[in-house]
Amino acid sequence: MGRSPLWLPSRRALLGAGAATAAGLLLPGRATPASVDERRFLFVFAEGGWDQACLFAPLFDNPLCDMESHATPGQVKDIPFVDSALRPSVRSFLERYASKTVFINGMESRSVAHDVCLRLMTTGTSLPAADDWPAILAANAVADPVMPLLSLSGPSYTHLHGGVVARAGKAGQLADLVSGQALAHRDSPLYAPSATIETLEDNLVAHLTGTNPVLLERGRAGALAQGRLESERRAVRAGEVVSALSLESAGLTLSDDIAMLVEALAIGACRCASIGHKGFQGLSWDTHGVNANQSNNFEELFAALLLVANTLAERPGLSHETLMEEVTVVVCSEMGRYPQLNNRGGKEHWTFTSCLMFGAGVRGGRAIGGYDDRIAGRRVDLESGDSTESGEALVPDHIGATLMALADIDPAEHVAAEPIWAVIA
Amino acid sequence: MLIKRRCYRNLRPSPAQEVLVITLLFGLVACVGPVETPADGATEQDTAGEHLAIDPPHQALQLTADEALATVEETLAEGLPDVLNLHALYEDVMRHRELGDPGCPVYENADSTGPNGNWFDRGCTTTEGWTYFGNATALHIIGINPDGYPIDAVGASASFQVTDPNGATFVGGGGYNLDRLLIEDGRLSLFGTFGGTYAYPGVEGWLHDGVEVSLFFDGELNHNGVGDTPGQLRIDGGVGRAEGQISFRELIVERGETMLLGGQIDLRDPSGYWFHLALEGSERPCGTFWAEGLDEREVCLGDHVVDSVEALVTSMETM
Amino acid sequence: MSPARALLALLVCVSCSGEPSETLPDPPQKDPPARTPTPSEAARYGEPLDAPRLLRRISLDLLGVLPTEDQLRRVTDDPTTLDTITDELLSDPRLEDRFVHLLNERWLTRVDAFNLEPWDYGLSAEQTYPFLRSIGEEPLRVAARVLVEDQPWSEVVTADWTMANEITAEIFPIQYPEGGEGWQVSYYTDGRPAGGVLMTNGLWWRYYTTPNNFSRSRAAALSRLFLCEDFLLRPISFESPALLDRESLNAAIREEEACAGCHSALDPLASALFGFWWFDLYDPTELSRYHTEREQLGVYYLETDPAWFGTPLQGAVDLGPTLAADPRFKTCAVRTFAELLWRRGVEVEDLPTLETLRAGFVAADQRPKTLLRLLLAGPEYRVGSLTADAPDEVAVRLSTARLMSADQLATAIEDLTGFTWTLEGWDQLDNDELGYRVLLGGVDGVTVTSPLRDPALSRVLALKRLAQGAGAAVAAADLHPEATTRTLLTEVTRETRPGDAVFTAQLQALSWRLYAVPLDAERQAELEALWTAVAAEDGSERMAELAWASVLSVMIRDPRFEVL
Repeated sequence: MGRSPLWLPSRRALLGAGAATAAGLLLPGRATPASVDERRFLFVFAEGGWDQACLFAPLFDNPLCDMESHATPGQVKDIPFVDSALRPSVRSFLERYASKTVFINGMESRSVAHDVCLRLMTTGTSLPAADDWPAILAANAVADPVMPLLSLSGPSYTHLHGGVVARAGKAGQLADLVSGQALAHRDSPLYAPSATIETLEDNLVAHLTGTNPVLLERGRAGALAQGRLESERRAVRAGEVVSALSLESAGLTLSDDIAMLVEALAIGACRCASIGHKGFQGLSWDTHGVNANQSNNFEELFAALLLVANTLAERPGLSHETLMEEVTVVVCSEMGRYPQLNNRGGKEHWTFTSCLMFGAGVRGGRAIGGYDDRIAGRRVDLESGDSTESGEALVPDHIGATLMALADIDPAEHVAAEPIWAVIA
Repeated sequence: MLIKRRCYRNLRPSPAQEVLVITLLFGLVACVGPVETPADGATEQDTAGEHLAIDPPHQALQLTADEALATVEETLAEGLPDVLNLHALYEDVMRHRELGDPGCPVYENADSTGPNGNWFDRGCTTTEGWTYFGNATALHIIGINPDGYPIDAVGASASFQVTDPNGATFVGGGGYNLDRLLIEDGRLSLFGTFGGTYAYPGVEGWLHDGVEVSLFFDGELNHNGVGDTPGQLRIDGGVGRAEGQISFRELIVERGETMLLGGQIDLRDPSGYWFHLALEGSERPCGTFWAEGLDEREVCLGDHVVDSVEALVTSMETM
Repeated sequence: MSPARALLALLVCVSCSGEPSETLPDPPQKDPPARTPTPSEAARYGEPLDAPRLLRRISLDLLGVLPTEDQLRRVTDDPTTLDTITDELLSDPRLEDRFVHLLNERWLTRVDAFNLEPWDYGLSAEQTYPFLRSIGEEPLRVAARVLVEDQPWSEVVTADWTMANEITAEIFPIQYPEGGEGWQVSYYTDGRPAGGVLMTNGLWWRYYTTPNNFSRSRAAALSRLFLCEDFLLRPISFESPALLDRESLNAAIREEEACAGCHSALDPLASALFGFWWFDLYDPTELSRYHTEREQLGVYYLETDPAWFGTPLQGAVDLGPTLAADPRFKTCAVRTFAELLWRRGVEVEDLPTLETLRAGFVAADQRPKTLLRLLLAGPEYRVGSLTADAPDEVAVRLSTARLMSADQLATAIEDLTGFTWTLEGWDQLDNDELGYRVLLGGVDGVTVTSPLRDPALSRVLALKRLAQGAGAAVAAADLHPEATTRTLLTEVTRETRPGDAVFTAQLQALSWRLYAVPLDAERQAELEALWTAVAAEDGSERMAELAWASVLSVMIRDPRFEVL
């Protein structure tokens, strides 16, 4: 028998070292900067189209807009909003964190079809060959997070940067894949091999991946090989992170899921994390009937955002006093809702909508843009944030550009719009 | 951390612009070529720089003109779908609901006892033997509007199947609303939409065998038919039955001592093409009749058209 | 920058803001002189895959399975047999299922949720998965059937039949063959006109419209899917008109030039789609039937008669034939299949190739198999490596390698090992509620709409478990003492050990079968060492089974497996 292969550890090594360590040593990787001051992002997507008249657009004096009977005009700092006793978390959130929050109003998606608007709002284009904002930000991470973009749910469009997305699955399926429990979720359950055998397998796979001669090839072949190598490295590191996050519990409540993602950001496991919110009890934001559900949705959403903000404000950051100085939270929806109720007590789709941001890098305490008397978006001066006829009509590209500026990425390489400089501290 | 702002003009095409131009260029290149005759018989002209005309093949009509006219009559023999009649029927069947906690069906407003309101049930049967499945939101408002005018408004959004103790199932899927407002000079202003699929073998008339509706009403009639000047009602949209499918295009009913009919009534041929009758605007349901490939001719419809329209208008006038 | 890209940039600058540039390029000549076509980039800078690996790519793309040993042997002995084998694959019944999945990457109708649920039709919760797939696959099955039968591609939008299975036949007004099973050619009985996929419930359930959109989004989808023209890409700048009032909006659409830029074509197209107009978006009666009496509602809602980009339509009945007669329909078909098989978007540099393909497609009376043969024979498809002088921008563009899609992995592994992964009626590799579809790189049709083109964390983990499951399942089955047939481990027994000729032969056969490359000595040694280590670790009477399970698992996780 010849010399044992390098990938085949001794029995002592098998028993002593964890699989992750053993396989990880076999995967050549890149040097990770010891300390990287890099902003991180949490994306929360209200799927279905939220009603701007329930939060962002206090148009009580506009006869064209049906406002909730229980709603009243509210304002915290320079953020006018729609207040209601039925959603106290909104006021609680703003009273505490308005100075770190900006509302961006009157953005137009130029469509009212869900699937098209989802793409337009997150990528700026209807083209399938486009990466969304979280993917672009994650792909440009200087640090080497194990999951550059952790996507729990919600829209996730990739083209060139699919390799950076770690899809967790709506029910946290990723955790089962890491643990091996996935194979038990089968009509005829199977079980992962023993830890020792799995280590042997993983080591050989790591060896094959790391010594793949195609790594040196130009073009797509080499790119795929490199991507596979990178993904295997991350898979080795993923085990500890996934356990720390309790990902297997995903899909139960919005607050718990968001807390999980915040934890991932807090420990630097990802640069971006994203989640889709399907409304209170999953009843959807797409309220063609019973628009009253919007209130429940906003209450649930803001209760979760309040917890997020509290965590960010209290928890130490990786290189700053608190996470609030390191993490930017972006909350948006693919469209708004028609200003008037239909005969089902619901509202149809509306091409103008709003989004909000808070946290690191955000110049808060104000609302940018607004809605005119036709409930269309007002033009905005990107520098001052003032609504002005000579300003620009806001489109999703402005959000993308703003995010890239916040992420220290040149927007010009990705979008055709300028950042909303007024939003950036 | 923040990058410096820069003013830029990026000459590099964006992906969207690239795709757009590729599409245009590919289409332009594709247009420069020989004339083709596709297998389906359609013809096209692929001539560079000229307007592209597409002339798809036309199928033959399956009905003769006389058959088409007869079909219009048959389709309206049971009358036009009457939203007030439908809502009254709906209220009748919902009065058989079983009250209680949770009740059958389950109403959103637990305090309600009447037929209207919002209910949802995945299937329940009352002690009387009525079975409710689906959901509906219905209202019937009788009162005075903010301007002081008496109002009678019905409306519903429906997706239900209600089976009576005899086993007949009332199916309703769609939505409707009809607002009637008694304004000055004894005039009745009305506006409404009646759409969906409805059937109830448990009653006679237009609903018995089922109907697909997509009607729109807008007009001013004389309250209870009493007035010095004729009332007017515009009807658009379609009625579909097993017998046939018709569509009204700006059907104008002028209702005074006599009833005048104007506008257009269309009938769908089984081939998918439509026959058209442009009414002359007189008391008689007569006008110019044509279809693609048919010569125009002057025709008159029978009594069913007039009777059905008259019955509907009478129903709407009565408040 | 290549000359083609320079021209593109110039054209874009002219169009980008509606403002003319100061210097316009000379207009193209009406009748450009004939010239010898230059070789495509792939032909100039690409080297084709060798015959076995090319066959592997073709087999996976056409059928979703690896080539058989016999096929590999034939093409190795005589590479010219590749075309013959390709024709055999094009006649294989598995072609239909494969193209259902492949076309879905473009049409995106296999989604996990519609506006209605099984219980709306009185079906049980256990029927949720087949319910969803039955509806979402209807238009895909029509197209796949046209392809399999090699009917003119125009049939996709002109057929007077649809495809139905037991579920859709039960809930929709469909005449299904008596005694039929599975997907069968069937006929709607509600009077809808012929129109192929344009007249399927499945297409419009996916691309539905809302009460204040009046079928415009459907018209846009139709244009995007079948003409490859996306209205939203038009670079139009305008002040948003009054959107609240339908009459004012319709007036603005007609009178404001910027609005008319899209709506002059979009609205008349939408006007032809009102047979699928529903007065309740969540009612099974409304959503199951086509409503012939509503075909003329476009005139009422949109104040425009149906028309196809300026050509009047007599009604919905004209929609399919008019679409089929439009040259863009054919160019879009060519482009769609090119992108699906090249596994990349088309670029400006591809235009000459696409035109050649289009000419061949049209000359063959739009027979899809002819198009497939042309595509599969082309250098863009066959490229496997780059020449030394390939410029960097070309190196990035050419699809020298591509990842197996999620559905290819599923079918390839099932065919190879017999392994399936179902849970309570759900295919775990084909759903995202509890399954691993998007984690494996698949699409869900709404929030994930492009298949993964690069490896990612979730995929390697999903592949790992898939490989482990498949390896364990086939090893257990093939090495069972009472096994009478073998699927994959056809050479060895429980007693076979590394060093035995049979052992080596088995590894060689596996390497050939899985990768279409011969086993090299180094790899052989690695796999033997793994086998030995696993057997030693276990030591039980099942040690051979476990060892082979590990070998197979690793071989499936080998980067060469998932790459075409």
